[in-house]
Amino acid sequence: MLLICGSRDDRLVSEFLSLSTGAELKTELIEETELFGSCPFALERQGSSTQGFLDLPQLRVSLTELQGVVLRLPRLWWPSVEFDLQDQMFVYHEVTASWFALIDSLTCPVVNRFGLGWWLQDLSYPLELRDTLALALGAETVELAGASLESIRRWPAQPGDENERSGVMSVYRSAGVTIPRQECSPDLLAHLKAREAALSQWESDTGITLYRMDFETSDGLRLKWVDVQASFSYEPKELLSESVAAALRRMTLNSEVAA
Amino acid sequence: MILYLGSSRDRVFPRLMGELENSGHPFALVDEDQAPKYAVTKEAKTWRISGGGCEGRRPVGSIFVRHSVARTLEPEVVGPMSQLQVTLNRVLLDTRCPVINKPSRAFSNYSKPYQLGLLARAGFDVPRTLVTNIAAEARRFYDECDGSVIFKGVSNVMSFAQVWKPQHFERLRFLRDSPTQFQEFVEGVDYRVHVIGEKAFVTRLAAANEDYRRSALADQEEILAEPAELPSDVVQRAIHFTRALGLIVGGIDFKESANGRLVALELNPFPQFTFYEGRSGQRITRSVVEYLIQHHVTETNVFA
Repeated sequence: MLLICGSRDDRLVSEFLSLSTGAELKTELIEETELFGSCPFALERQGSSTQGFLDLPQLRVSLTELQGVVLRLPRLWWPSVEFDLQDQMFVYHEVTASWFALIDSLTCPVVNRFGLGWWLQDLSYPLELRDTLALALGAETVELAGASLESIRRWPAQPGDENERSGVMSVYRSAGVTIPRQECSPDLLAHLKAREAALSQWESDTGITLYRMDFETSDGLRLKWVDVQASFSYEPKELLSESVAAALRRMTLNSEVAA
Repeated sequence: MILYLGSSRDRVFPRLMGELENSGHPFALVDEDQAPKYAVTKEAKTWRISGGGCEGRRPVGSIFVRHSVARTLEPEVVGPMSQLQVTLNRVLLDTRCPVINKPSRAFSNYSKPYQLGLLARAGFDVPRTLVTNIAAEARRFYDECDGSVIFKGVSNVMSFAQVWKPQHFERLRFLRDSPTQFQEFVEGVDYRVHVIGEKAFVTRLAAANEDYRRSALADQEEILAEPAELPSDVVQRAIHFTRALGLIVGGIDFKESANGRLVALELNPFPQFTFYEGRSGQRITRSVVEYLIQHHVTETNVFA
């Protein structure tokens, strides 16, 4: 079973729903408010082994039944205001810490298996991902203006946005497949191909398997940003389908999933 | 120079400041409770911290961090402190000098069941544990553990472990609102192992309560803490585990039952080592300062 945690309004989620149905993969969608606010679950550890389940509406799902999980959580959930503020904060962290542990215990592919920095919304997390990815690629990073984070690209990527105007080249990766966003320089693609092993290692180390890299190439290869929760709102349908199909192929152990 | 990022209200502060002064090694402090005093700037790849006692020009060779925790939700306090800490965390990502401890490496105890998995994979014995928001599952676990269960928080938000007693059954109805961690109760002696680089201090604790911190902090009871020993393979594993997490300092809690079973409970990446030192007489703070001096680097991109 494929479990999608996110919103049907998210174009990437819709594509997962559509292609997984085509691939005859049983799929369940759960919205963030239900997942964090009302989904019953149990996770038990004995020594190094874990077991557990989720209770979806009308359905108990053992964690071992999951073939894949897609995490597209907007991170907007907050506990009921019926609690006082101190309890709201306590419950928020208890719930977040629980779901992180549960998802970490899964042995199936998780897109993306974010580190705790993401769950804690730590601002250093994306910077660390960018720095370590640049190291893996043997590339410099684009200097961020001053000490603030305001110069960082914000999603969603749109046609004609500031990055496109300034010649930034974007490349997606999904389950080890490289998918250029637009026409890319052959040098950039050759560089990524040459660094495939290091890129795969970075993906394995970080748990990030679906993401977009933005490069500046005017003065050597420089990584500007890595977006690990990229919006596909304005991306071409083919790119979206290819990204999802690659992820599904990994979840279904490479059975046929057509983009 | 050693840079200390922290809070003058922190209980670690006076002892650490005392040891830094006694060491004779130059140091500077960023008191995050006085956030508006400081400015952090970046020029090319060089960071400069100025304000308070920082001049932005003395090279920083090692850093000690215990970020301040806001004791209020007032925006005029929280805002500047958060902004300063975010920027300091960028400095800590960038710096090439040793940092005790990098906040980006210190997340694992945010999720205690996750960290328990790391401890188990590192070879420690860990208690059987259930995290759930389902009352019937908690009850099943209770029965399977013959009614010998404690419950405690899942995250690192302060909470005390409590033995599950009959009067707690009626509280199971609240479980649906907030998942809880249930653990087989290993009754016995508490140990805290503080790791500082390749060194370790083992402290044995005795208190009236199942969670000795409750005795000390909530019930104002005195607890006994004394230097102790644990098997060398356990201590070595504690050192390796701390290093594997990317940390220099860690405080690992153990419990030893009467029949000699030793279980690891959790690792605190920002241990309040002065609490133990003040009772056991072990020179943990001095060891921290010695580490900062011995591993001090001369080539740096941080100036204060």
